[in-house]
Amino acid sequence: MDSVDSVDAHIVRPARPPGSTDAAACVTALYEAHASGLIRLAVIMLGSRPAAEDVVQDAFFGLYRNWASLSDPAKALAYVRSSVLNGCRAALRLQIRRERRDRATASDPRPDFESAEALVVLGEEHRQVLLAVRRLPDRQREALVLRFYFGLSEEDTAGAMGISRGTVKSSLSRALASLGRMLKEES
Amino acid sequence: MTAVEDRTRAAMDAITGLVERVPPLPLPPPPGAVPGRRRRVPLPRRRWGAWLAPVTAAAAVVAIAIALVVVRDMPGGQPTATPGPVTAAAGLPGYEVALNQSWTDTTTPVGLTLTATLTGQKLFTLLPPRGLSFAGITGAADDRTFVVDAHRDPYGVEGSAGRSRAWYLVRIVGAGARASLTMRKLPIPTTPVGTGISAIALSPDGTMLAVASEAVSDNPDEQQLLRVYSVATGAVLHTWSSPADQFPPIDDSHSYGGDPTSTVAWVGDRALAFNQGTRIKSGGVTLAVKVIDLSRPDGDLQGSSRTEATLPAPSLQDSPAPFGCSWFWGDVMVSGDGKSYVCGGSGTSGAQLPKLYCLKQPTWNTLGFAAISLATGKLTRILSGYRTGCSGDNVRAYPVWVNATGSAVIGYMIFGDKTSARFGVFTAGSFRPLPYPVAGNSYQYSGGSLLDMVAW
Repeated sequence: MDSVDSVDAHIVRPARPPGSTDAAACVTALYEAHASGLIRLAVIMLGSRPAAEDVVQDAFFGLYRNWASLSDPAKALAYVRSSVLNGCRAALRLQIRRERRDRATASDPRPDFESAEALVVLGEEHRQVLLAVRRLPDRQREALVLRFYFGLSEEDTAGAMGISRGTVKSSLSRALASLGRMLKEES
Repeated sequence: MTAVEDRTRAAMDAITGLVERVPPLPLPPPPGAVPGRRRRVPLPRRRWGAWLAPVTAAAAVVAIAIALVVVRDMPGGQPTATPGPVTAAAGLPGYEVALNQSWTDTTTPVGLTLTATLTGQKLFTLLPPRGLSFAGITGAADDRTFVVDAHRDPYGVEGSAGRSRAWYLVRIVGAGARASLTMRKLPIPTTPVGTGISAIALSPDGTMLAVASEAVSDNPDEQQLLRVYSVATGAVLHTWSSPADQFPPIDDSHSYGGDPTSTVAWVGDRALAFNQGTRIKSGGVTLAVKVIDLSRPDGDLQGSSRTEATLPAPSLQDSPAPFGCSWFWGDVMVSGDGKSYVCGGSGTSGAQLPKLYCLKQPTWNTLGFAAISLATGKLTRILSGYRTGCSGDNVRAYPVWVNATGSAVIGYMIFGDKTSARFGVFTAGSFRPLPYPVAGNSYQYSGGSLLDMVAW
C-alpha cells in the first residue's frame, strides 16, 4: 500500500506545464500513482468496490476535462481527492435513495456494508470496526478516513472537506467517541 | 493513541489488501476532438480479482477486438444519432440558469450563472446575498423568471442538515449577450432550521411556488409536507401532508446543500404532479403518476390526489421487459400543455431508434424518453432514444426540460460505460448535443437529477 506518509509525497508533477497538450499523460500518471489509495478510501466510505472504482474514475475524468483550467498542477491530487469525496457523497445519496425505494416498495433491501463482497475477506474484528465507521455521520467518517487512513494533516483534511480545522478536530473527536460507544455495545 | 484509534487505523489498513489492482482509466477524447478520429479506448473493467487467469485475459482481448470491429461498423465510430436540426418551433429555452458550484472548491459561496442554452456562452454571474449560498432553483415557463433558495453553508458540510432557507425571485433582464439577472427577496417565510427541502417547483405563470419538505430526523414516521406559496405575498395557499416515504422520492440532499426540484411538477397552473412507486402482487413495481388539483381540500395528500397513469417500472436487471419509466430515478416532467407526462425509461420497444453499441450484454434494450398521456394514462410514444445493449444501474435517461407539446426534451443519457453519455436536445429521430450546464461535475455518475442545479 502507499504508506500513509507517502500519499502526499506522490503528487505527480506533470512533465509539462498546464495548458500543454498532454493532459491525458499527466492525468494517467496521476491515476496510476494514486488510484489504488483513492479507491481504498472510497471503499471505506461506500463499502462497495465497484462503486468505489466508479467514483474514483469519475474524479479523474473530471480532472481530465478541467485540466486546462487547473491553475496549479501541483494541486491536482488535492482536487481529485475532493472530487472523490464529493463523488462518495453523491453515491451515498444514491444508496439512500435506493434504500428509500426499497422501503417504499417493500422490496428486499440491497445488501448493506456487512454483506458487501468488499469486506468478506476481512477478519471479524476489522469488519466490525469498519461497519461502525460506516454508521458514522458522513462528515465524521470523512474526517476519520482522511486523517487516519490518508494521513492528511488537519489543514489538508479541512481543505479537502471544505470545513475549518476546528471542525475537523471536533468531528474527529466525536467520531472516536461514537466509535468507542458502538464497539463497546457490540463487544 | 487510544485503543479505538488503534483499532480504527488497523481496520482501515486492512482494506489495503482488497485493492491490489486498479481498472484502467479510459479517458474520453479531448474536448473538440473530431468525430471519427476519436481515440478508441478500452471499456473499463469494473471488477478485478487476483484470480484473473491468462484464459480470462485472452477472452478479454478477444472481446475488445470484437468491440473494435463493431465500433468500426458505425459511421465515424459514432452512434448513428447524428446532430439534427432543432428549430425554434421546438420552443427551446434560450437561457439556462445554473448554480455555479465548483467541483474543487467547497467553501466559496454558490452563485448563479446565466448561460445561453445552445452555445454555452456565459452571460452573467449573480453572487448570492452576503453570507449565503444558493441551494436550489426552479423556473417558470417564460424562461425569464426563477425562484431560488439560499442558506448559509455552501455545501452543507457545516451546521445541521436542515438549514434555514430564504427565498429569492431571480429574473432575466435584457436579451442576447447583454442579458443579466436581477434578484429580490421574496416574502415567503424562511424555513425553520431542521427542515429538509425535498422539491421546489415554480408554476408556469410564475405566481406560485410549490415546496415539498420534511423534518430532518431519524423518525421514520415524519410527515412530508407539500405547500404552495404565493410568490407575490408569501402566503401559504395550500398545505398537504403524507407519511414519510409515501411521497417518493424525497432525496436526502439536504445533507450536502443541493435542493432537488425533481419530485414535483406543475400541470398547467392549477395542479401538481408527483410520482409514486407501488409494489404489486406479482412482485414488480408500478409507477403511479399522481396529480393533485389546487381545488382539492388541504390535508391528506394521498386522499386529495388522483392517479392519472399507472405504468410498469421495470428493473434494468430484469431485461427484457416492456418499456417503462424509471420512476424512482426520473424527474417528474409534464409538457407545457399539461397533456403529457414525460419520463426517462428503458425496456423493450418497437420504436425505430438508432443503435448505440455497448457490449455488456448482447440483448438490445431501448433507453429513451417517453410520453404518457395524462388523459388516458397510456404510454403514447417513445420520443427519442437509443437501442442499446448496455444495462445496469448506471444506464439511465433523465429528462430535465420538455417543451409545450412534449416533442422535444432536454435531457441526458448515461450508458454505464463513461464514454458515451450525452446531454442535449432529443427530438424524434435526432439528437443535438448541448454544452453541459454544470461545470465539473460528472453527470455520468449522477445518481439523480440535474434539476437541483439548473433551470430553464
